[in-house]
Amino acid sequence: MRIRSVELTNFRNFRRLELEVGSSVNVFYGANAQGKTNILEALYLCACARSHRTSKDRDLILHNETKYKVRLILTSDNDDYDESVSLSYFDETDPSLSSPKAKRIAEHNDVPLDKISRYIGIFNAVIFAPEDMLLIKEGPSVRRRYLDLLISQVRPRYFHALQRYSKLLMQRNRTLKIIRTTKGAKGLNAQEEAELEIWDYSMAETAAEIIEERLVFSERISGAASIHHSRISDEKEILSVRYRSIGGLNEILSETSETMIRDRIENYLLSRWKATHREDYEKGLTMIGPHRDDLELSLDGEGLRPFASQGQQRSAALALKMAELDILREDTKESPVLLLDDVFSELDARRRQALLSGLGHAQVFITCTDKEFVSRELIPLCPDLFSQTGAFSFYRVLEGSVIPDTIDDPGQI
Amino acid sequence: MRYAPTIAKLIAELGKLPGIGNKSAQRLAFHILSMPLEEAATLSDSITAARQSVRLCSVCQNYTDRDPCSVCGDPNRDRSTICVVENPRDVSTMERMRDYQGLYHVLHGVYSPLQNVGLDSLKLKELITRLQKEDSVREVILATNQTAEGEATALYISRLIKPSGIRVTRIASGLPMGSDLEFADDLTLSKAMRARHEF
Repeated sequence: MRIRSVELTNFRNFRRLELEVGSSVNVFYGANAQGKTNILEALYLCACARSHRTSKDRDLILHNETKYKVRLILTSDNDDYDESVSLSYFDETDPSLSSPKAKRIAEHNDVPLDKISRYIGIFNAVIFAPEDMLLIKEGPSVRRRYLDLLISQVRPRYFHALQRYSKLLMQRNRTLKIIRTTKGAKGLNAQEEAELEIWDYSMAETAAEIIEERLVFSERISGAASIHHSRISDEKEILSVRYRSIGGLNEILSETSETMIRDRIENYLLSRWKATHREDYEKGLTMIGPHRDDLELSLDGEGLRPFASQGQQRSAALALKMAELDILREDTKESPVLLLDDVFSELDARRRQALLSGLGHAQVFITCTDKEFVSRELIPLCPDLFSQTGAFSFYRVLEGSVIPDTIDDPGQI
Repeated sequence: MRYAPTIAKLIAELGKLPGIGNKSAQRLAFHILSMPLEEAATLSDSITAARQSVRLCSVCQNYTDRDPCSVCGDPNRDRSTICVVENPRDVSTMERMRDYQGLYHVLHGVYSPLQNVGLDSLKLKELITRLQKEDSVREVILATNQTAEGEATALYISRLIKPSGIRVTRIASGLPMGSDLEFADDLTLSKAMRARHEF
């Protein structure tokens, strides 16, 4: 899948941008804070319906405006059809009124879609950005998001299951809080147990569906990431990835036959939720479930986070992202668009080479401060790759506008 | 410009209706003001009359102007089946198909703590008393919406009724009739595939 053209309206520091892009390597260069990353952010937003930098749509709107829009025209790998995707958001909330008036609209071929779940997966992209390091440094929620976004792009049902689960979870937590405020710290009566059980039963099926997919994908990620990791890292450690479900589910699963997994998870969660009504009620929160699980990373069997050096962490983060790319490519049978946001400056030659050789023939968008960096540092690492992918397109980014370079002598690059 | 207090009040009242924002409320208000006085009076009288005479049917809890309602009072309806729906609107929808001969029970909402709707604000006690009183009922069809809350409410009712031995069924979900497979969304399609039957 490739992008033909990009249109931005009131997005970050771009008032209006219409840009035809090249079919192979597109390089956006310029000084800092001119808008290079904003362009990549816009592309990523069109794929995943969320930014890799913020969860607030409000932040994406140009200052003093009320609406942004990003629209892409796409073409399939073999050029046989064109389609468009767009994402827009308007916020016309009057600060003097309490009710918010904001809406996000996703369109496919300029027809608005009623659910975001129908939008995810139409256009796929993988972003490599400095934020990737958070996968290693931060808590479980970052790794769950990595896993959820990846699975959502290739399994549309999964995204729907996530939305449903999070709604049911809110209902259950709300029920716990209502019981708490109406009766204080006394025990639960039969009626209250029954109310919680409604949510237990409703959540169990969806939770089992989520966990089952996560187990499958964690294993695939582990396989792909360990191969990439051995290429990236100069040490001989083996990276492995494992889905860690809190509340003892892992132990149950290790003794379960393949076919029964979903039923086993469902029954297990149901019994655990029922057994922990009292604890959940005291905390006012549901303490067990896929919303608390983690993707556990280890090097030679040792948990990664506490002991790892900066270099080890960087290698692991890069391996995870490259595994994401492999899986998307394998499942969609198309190459996702690659967004490389200022990543090369942080990587040494070995890691740069590993990254470049894993890219394949995808359309690539790169940001960097210095145009010569590409010809000086990147092309010598992988001369074959770059001669195959053909022409580079260079764009200078300056204060919210983009100026395409005219290349007089393509042989120069 | 500020509106005269009576106009402002009318706009505010209309704006409380579902689906009516401030702009629509203004448009409706000015439309009403431009109507002949008799027409406006007919409108306001019919609102008052409907609100005063309509109450809940003591049997099925649907809106009605006589008790029992026209469905519950019809001797030709099948008294062995009760279809449980969320809203009075759903009864009209069901009746439109002219195919279902049984009775109804209207819950007036679904269980949703987030919207402050507890189980006790639904017409559940009424359903249970009704089942205890009328031993002609053989089947309860749960026709709440296919939303997270609709499903949860259906689940609760089924667990409530099951011990009595009455058959509890849930309406099917799947592809709309007369539609092309290619336009179905993935979720509906996968539900339809899982609920396939011998043919």
